[in-house]
Amino acid sequence: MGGSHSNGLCQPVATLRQLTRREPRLSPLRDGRVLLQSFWIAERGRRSPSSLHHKDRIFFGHGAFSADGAQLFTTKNDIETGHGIVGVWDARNGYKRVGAFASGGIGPHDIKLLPDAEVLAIANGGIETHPETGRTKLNIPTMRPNLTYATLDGQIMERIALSHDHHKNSIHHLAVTRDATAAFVMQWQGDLSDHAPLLGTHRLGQGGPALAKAEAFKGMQAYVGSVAAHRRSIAITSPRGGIFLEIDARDLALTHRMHMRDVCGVAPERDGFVCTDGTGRVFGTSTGAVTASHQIRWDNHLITL
Amino acid sequence: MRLFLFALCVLAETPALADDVDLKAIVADHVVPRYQSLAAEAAYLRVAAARDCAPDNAQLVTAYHDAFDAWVRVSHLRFGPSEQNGRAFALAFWPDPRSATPRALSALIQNNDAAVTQPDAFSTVSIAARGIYALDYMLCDPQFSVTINRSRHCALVRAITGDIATNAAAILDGWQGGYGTEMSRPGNDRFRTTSEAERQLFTALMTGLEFTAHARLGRPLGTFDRPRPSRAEAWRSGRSLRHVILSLQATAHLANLISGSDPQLTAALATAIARAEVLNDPIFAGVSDPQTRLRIEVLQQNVNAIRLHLTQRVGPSLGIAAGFNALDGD
Repeated sequence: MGGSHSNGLCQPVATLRQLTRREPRLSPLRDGRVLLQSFWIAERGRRSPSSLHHKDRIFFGHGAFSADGAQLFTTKNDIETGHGIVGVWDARNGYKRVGAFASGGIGPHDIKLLPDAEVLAIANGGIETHPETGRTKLNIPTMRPNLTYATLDGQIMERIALSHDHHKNSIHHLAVTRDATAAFVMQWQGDLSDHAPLLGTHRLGQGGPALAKAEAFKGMQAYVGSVAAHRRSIAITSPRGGIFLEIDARDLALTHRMHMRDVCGVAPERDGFVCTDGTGRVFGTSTGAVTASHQIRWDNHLITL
Repeated sequence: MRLFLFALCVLAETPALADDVDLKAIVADHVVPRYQSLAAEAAYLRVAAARDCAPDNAQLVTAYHDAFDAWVRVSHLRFGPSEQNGRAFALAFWPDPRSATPRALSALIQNNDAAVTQPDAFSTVSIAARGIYALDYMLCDPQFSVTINRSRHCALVRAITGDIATNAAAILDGWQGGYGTEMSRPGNDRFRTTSEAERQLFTALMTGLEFTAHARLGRPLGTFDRPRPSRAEAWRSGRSLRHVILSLQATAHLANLISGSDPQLTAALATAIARAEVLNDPIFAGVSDPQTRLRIEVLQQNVNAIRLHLTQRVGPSLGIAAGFNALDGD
């Protein structure tokens, strides 16, 4: 995923606030890079800092920087229309808001820059919420999540929707491999007994998406909290099922499965992936060993710097 | 709220030990009778509207209240047949922060929409114009109930009640036509293991309590500086507090079946219900009055404490993670 922030910054708003107020929490990796981890203390549920709020828009918690670091792109919904918006902020000028364009769907969540640095991949989760009703989902029967590719100035290049059978499979998080394969993970909004596939891959301009077989996700409670890519591997975590999976990005075959209670954050490191959990522990997934433990609760947002 | 968040940090270490959940009893004694009741009340509601659709027809209004009661008693069971084809949403479209329901109803009336007189077509109109919350507007909001165009109002009331009856019957059919058996006896394509069925029921219980705390109580509470009594559920027909009581009673029944009558849980639920019953504020108008507001907030805290207990103690005994991220849902 590269060593700079050029592949996108994935972090919740509270971390942005903490970044402006105090040092972020950094952990060294064996290959010399560091991890930026986000955590919550007592502000769960109150996630929107005023600095990244714009009137009538809600910020959902993910962002991507342009390759030169000059612009930050964040996802949010227009409160009145319910349509997704990508906000553009001037990172070199106090994060002043300089523009916005349509995200191509409802309820955008994660956003990542492709390796060519010219195209953004946007996970439009499809779920409409409203500040008056908090996290209450307002449109489950009609939701249509999609993966949208847009240029940095907002021209939509391609939009990948799932088939109607999967219209309740909310695309929440994204990771992009070095060969520009977008791995998207989902949170199923229908019955827990529906056994939906929770990971798909797609490449811009290469036809339809590929979905992993639903069997791989057994025990994950229809919920993936985070995804990361490393070489040809995709790692996904389900805190509800306490399960970590590695899947081959080319054929979507399951290559590694581990039980880890409340695992959620996941990011690439030299030999594989590193994960964090809600009790403050940090794991290397190649060995499963705890490499650090902190007196805080890691959430799902973990990135390599 | 601060106290509650503090409580979140103090994790209970040892999960309560529940015996195996009696899935058969939950389906047969909790779920199916409630959906039978909803189907019966909805069928009668359709008949009452067919006889006399006037908003001042006492029989129709009584049938509306009875059907709404029956809905609230299943409103936590939003999975399986009620989830299929968006039936639960079509029965109950709330909360509605954009006021989509009155807009959709006005459009149907003003355009003299042909869908109103054709049941098949009506099932395709905006879900905001369908279901029991739409009927709340039609019967109890003067914008609709006091109308010069009686015939269009009447046709729409009949369309809505007919659609409610059809949907309620379809959900019951689903439970009695296979889903109930599959859930009672896991080891089939839908529920491969007992634990999958338990998780679905536990999720329904948690979601139901969360809805009561966040939506039914939280919406009218708003903030201390800006209480929002007009956001209370079904306040037009004076039902807001009643919904809290009915749903707490229903979730208490399910909670006891799931937890094997965990004494602490039973007591906490009884306390919350008793507190709601003495509130004497049917539409939460008191959210603006500091003293009444405090009592509503305490009730909300009670419900949140019950959710916490279920998460920390009962969930783990069913093998359901109680971790921080498992609950976060981001």
